[in-house]
Amino acid sequence: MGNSINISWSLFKKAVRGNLEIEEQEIFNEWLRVKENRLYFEKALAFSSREGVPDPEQQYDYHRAWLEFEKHRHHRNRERFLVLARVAAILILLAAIPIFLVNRAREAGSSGADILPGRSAALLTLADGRIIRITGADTTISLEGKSSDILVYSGSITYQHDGSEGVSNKFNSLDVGRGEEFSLNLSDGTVIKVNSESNLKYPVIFNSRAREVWLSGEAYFDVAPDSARPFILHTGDINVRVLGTTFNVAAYGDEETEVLTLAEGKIEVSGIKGLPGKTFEIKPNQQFVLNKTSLSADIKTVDAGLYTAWTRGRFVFEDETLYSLFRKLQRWYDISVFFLDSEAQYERFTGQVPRFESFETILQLLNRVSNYEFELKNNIVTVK
Amino acid sequence: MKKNTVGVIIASGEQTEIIPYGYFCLADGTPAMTKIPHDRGYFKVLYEQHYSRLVSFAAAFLFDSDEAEDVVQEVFVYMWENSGKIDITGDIRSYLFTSVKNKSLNRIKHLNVIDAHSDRVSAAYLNAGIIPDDDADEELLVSIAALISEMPPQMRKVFELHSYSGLKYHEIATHLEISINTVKTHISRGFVILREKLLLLLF
Repeated sequence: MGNSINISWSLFKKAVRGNLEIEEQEIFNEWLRVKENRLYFEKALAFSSREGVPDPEQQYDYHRAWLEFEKHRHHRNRERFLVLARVAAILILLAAIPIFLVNRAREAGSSGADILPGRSAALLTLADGRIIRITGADTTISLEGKSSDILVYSGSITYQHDGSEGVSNKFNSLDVGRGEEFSLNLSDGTVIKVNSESNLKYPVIFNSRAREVWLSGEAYFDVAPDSARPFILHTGDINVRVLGTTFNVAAYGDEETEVLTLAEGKIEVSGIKGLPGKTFEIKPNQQFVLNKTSLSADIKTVDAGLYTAWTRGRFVFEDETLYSLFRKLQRWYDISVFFLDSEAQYERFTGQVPRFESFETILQLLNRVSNYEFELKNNIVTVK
Repeated sequence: MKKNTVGVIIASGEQTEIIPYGYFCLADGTPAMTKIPHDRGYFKVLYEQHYSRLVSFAAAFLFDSDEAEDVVQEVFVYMWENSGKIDITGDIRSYLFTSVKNKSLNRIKHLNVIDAHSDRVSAAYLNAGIIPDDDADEELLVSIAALISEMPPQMRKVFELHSYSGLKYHEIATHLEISINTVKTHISRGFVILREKLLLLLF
């Protein structure tokens, strides 16, 4: 590769147009002595003599390029993908093999951060009074009478029913604290994912007439269909009756409203505090909202995905006030918030954030878009 | 209405809202982000929205469509593989165009054509249908402003609202009380004028 002289862009342009003065032509010829330079000049000539002016938005088709990109992506990710596929398969088989499941996202997001996101953990109180702390390790607990074995591996508890009739008035109580979330697989195949600061009471074995559970806080229900036994959820203020559906209930004691969002299936809400005798039928993507202060109820149409996003590892906010946003974050991260400027509470936000991101990152994002300033010291956020 | 603070304004083609995960948006829907999401859907949208323009942009440096497509692909692949590490302070469009610019300039560095006033960078933006930002060549910006002022009144108004005030199509339509289609027509015709007249500056 020859080392050529320098020429200016304006000289080059003149050459392409064919407007060079004699002295300029001499300089340009000197530059042209290098092969790569000549080739480039030829390309420029061809480019400048194109017919018409193509529309840059349409000129190049992205589809082929996208396919190339996908091919590359798959090739590189194959290794990682295989590991994940294996892990997923093991989960489904419910094998009692000790597995420590590493949350990739959590690892990537929280390295070096002081305030860690929540994790899968809970406190389980058994019918016989034993209290068991469940975190990332595996345990197998068998109950007396052997009517049900509990398998625990990180993130969830599974009840295995050996088919025998047990006493249905024995209850377990699952307490999920601040910064925790937990999944419960009940003996009928129903899966309940319980969010932070919540409590779920449920019988060890469902009786033959109905499947009843009690919730305070927030949980996501994927109820296994059973036409013989309706699934009945009680919160302090409403009763929900389903046959087989997926829905989300947010019934925190310290919130003004109780919100039930239906993703799939059909639900009947009754036994509503302050509205005796009234029943509401809810359809998918509808939301039942009970205002506990005014004792009024309403049905809204919503995108259920927004209200169930937490089960897929995300916080989703849709035109939500900063106040409400922080209430959600507070349950997951160990923080408290002080509004030095009380107006700040009413600022609204739309967006999504992964739940397993460090709190510092989320605060950074907030600082970027908000008109207010967020400062974090120890675990206290001040807003001004 | 806020002008795009980074300065590269896409003056033709719809600005759509992409809200990939990990982002908060201002009330007006503008996303502000820190990291590129490692999300296939997000990348697909990037391809749909920006691929063609990016190639046109690279081609204005390289004068070679195939090489231009290579450069753009390299940028996307790099972004994908380093998505956890790349911090974006502005918007993704600026990041994309800046990356393609840098890669393209790198490829032709050895040819020793010196562009003292970043003339060719501005010309490349125009080639991609974008009005270059404030630190482009003074002369060029003046020429663009002059050409816009010479446009027929309604076209000029539409152009100014879109390029300088950053209004979206339906906002311009409401503001001027015309249809969205009229807005789009004005913008594409206006850009044809700019490209035709300013391409004299490219060559």
